Amino acid sequence: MLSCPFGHGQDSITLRMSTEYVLRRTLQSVVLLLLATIVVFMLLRLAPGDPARLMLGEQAPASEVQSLRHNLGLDRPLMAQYWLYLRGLFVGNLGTSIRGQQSVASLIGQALPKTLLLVGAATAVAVLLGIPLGVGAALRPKGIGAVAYVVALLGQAIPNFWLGLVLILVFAVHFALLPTSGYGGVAHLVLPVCALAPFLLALVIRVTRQSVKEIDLEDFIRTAYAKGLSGWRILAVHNLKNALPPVVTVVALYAAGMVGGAVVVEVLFAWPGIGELAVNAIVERDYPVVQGVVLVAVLLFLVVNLLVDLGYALLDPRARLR
Amino acid sequence: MKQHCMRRRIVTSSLAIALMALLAAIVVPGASPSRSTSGAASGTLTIGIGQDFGTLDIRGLGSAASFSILRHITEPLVAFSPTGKFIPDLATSWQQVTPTKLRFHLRQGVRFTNGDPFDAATVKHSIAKVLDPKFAAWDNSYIAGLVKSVTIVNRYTVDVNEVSPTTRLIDGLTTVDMVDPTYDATGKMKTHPIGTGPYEFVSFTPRQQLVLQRNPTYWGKRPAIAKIVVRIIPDPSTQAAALLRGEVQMVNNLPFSFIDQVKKHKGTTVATGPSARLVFLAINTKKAPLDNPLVRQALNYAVNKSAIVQSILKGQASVANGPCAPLTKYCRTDLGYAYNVEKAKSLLKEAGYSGQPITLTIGAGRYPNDDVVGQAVVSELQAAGFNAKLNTIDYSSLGSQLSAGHGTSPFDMWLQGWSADDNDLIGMLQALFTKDAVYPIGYNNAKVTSLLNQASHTVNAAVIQRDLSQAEAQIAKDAPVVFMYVPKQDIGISTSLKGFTPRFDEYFFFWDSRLS
Repeated sequence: MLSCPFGHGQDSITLRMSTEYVLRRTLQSVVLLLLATIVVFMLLRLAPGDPARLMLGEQAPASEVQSLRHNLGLDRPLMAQYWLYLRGLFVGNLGTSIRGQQSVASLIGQALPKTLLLVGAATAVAVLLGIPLGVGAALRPKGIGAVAYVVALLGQAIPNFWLGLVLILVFAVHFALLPTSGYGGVAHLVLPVCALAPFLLALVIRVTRQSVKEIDLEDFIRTAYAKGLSGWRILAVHNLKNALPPVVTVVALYAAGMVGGAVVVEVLFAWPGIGELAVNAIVERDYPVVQGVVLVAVLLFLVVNLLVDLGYALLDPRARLR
Repeated sequence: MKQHCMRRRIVTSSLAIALMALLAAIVVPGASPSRSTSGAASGTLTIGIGQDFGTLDIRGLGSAASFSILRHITEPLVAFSPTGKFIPDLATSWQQVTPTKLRFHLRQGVRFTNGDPFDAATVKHSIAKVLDPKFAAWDNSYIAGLVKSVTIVNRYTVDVNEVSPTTRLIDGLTTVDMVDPTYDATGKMKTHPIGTGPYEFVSFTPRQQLVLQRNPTYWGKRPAIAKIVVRIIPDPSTQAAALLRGEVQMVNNLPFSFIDQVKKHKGTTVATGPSARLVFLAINTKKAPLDNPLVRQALNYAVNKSAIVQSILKGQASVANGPCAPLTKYCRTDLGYAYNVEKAKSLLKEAGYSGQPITLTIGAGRYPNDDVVGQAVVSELQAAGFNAKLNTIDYSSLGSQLSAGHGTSPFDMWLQGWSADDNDLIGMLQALFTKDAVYPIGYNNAKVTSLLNQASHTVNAAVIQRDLSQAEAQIAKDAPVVFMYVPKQDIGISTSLKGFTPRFDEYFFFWDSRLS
């Protein structure tokens, strides 16, 4: 009613507010990213372990270790090392691997697409199975709901390294159906996805169930029933449209987190993604590589987080004021 | 309603447990029928190793596995046989022409795979490069300090002039690979290595695989296996699964828990062999009460080595009877401390030990079950009257804390190993039991130092034998470490891989192997 006379004005206010909102959120993300670089840099160097000693092996004389430390610049003051690192970052230089001497950017460039493939496939499986199961659990708690309940329980209870090993022993060794490990065709993707998907699947089931159930109790759904609409139509048009946004949020954030968190599965299946890259680098104290991977993982998470928040702001005006 | 919920929860949980039990039943070791497919028929050998290649230059820093693989491409002048005997490689013979001059006669007509010839200039360049401190070759310490200069006598004869008379240089030279000087200058050894060896480099996909094929112009016996694919599989359990599946025909890192299964499984077996490695508990001999030899002897008597080897290491090791591994040249095997708690207690009494705390630090993850070994040792020390404590940290921390002390140990005792991978007992004892030791053990006995010095600076085998024998006895008596065990190597192989035997230096080579 009131919106008519002030229609145009309000639109431009909305626009201004959202530009300001976007700017503010982006700035927050940049600050967070900077904090992350400091935390990672300092934590790595506070943790005991010397890359030079690890490279040269336990039988190398101390003088050789010392001269390698010097060549690598590891004997410089910590703040000087950090400043060098930060200066590199501003010109887009992530540094060079201590061990392999390749640039960190190229290492991540090779590894990241492989992780995205793995995580993407696992997310697709979780969404395609999880939403129907979640809806079923909400609307038919006795039949499909019981199945969904068991799947959700197992998905969250079984640790993925155990599940992965069992999958390898059963489907690769015992039945000889699939390769044990390695990066290759679709066959190589099946087992790692099956090890990675269940946790997210369980999450999707739970969130979908909760969300669909809540919407199902809303007045407009009752009205829709009263109008005599079919159950499917109510579910698709009236319920899911409102129930899915929280599911999308959870999936997006969790999947973004999984990019850095698929470590266990990647190592187990010899999948050359960034998780495996990071683990190796941590064991060898290859500082620049660890820093690079963490930075990329944090960046990815922040971007997704930002997009989700902005998406909400777009859909729900109340979110803009927060 | 609540009761209904409860019942449903019970039903689902029991369902879950049943499902897990079912899965577990399927994978019980030994219950599986053999389905090992032979990927071997094509003449391609596929193996699995745990660690990626940092560089493809064999002189750079890598693991024992990466060295083994790259040794198929490049060759040394003299190599070790699997049991540690010298065998001619790119040198056909060598002789000590004066006490400080070692003359090598080179194999003639050998070419690198790029067509460049191998000759005296190659040798001079290759040795100089390893000696160059700026190049940081992994094996620099094996020959640095021994070589004065290299002289080219003629195209196929080279003299290596030594700093002082010694037999140790030839041991060190087994680690020095011959590299084409022209090609080396291009810097491509790191990414596309070439050599004179039985195999040539084909391709490398970082963190995935490396491929070698037979060198068609190889000077020596043509290897039976045409192609070698090295897959990088970080997880040891996955390596074992890949072996059982028949995807790979060898894995170098078999976990204890898989040994029985790999042995029972049709188509796979375990190749076991001794190593040249001594595992010991290093002692900070500068700190009271550990500065007292009686206390250190008591430590040696108090630890039940054979029980640890049998129950914790599943028999995959042998008890150490002295400061070295039996297959190392000149190693004595009659210097052990038999387990004797009473003796330990009386020694402690004699030493006037008054219950000062002694902490054993384990850098876990370096040796199989090392954390459990630590627990066993500490409880045995307590039983003998020591006030012993256990401190378990991760392996990479152990190394850095040891070197951070600049010669002073931050630990009372710690688990450590040493491999005499160049079969040089003098070098090993100097690296561990003199004042220039690699680790801060702090042991410095003038008699031992001078015996090792004498043995190092002579070419007389009888003198070396005598001096080392005395030095070993003195070290055993002074007990600067607790002599623990010599691990065995367990290498999982396919039964189709023939002619493969574990080597004393823990490397693995396939030019004498074949696939059936």
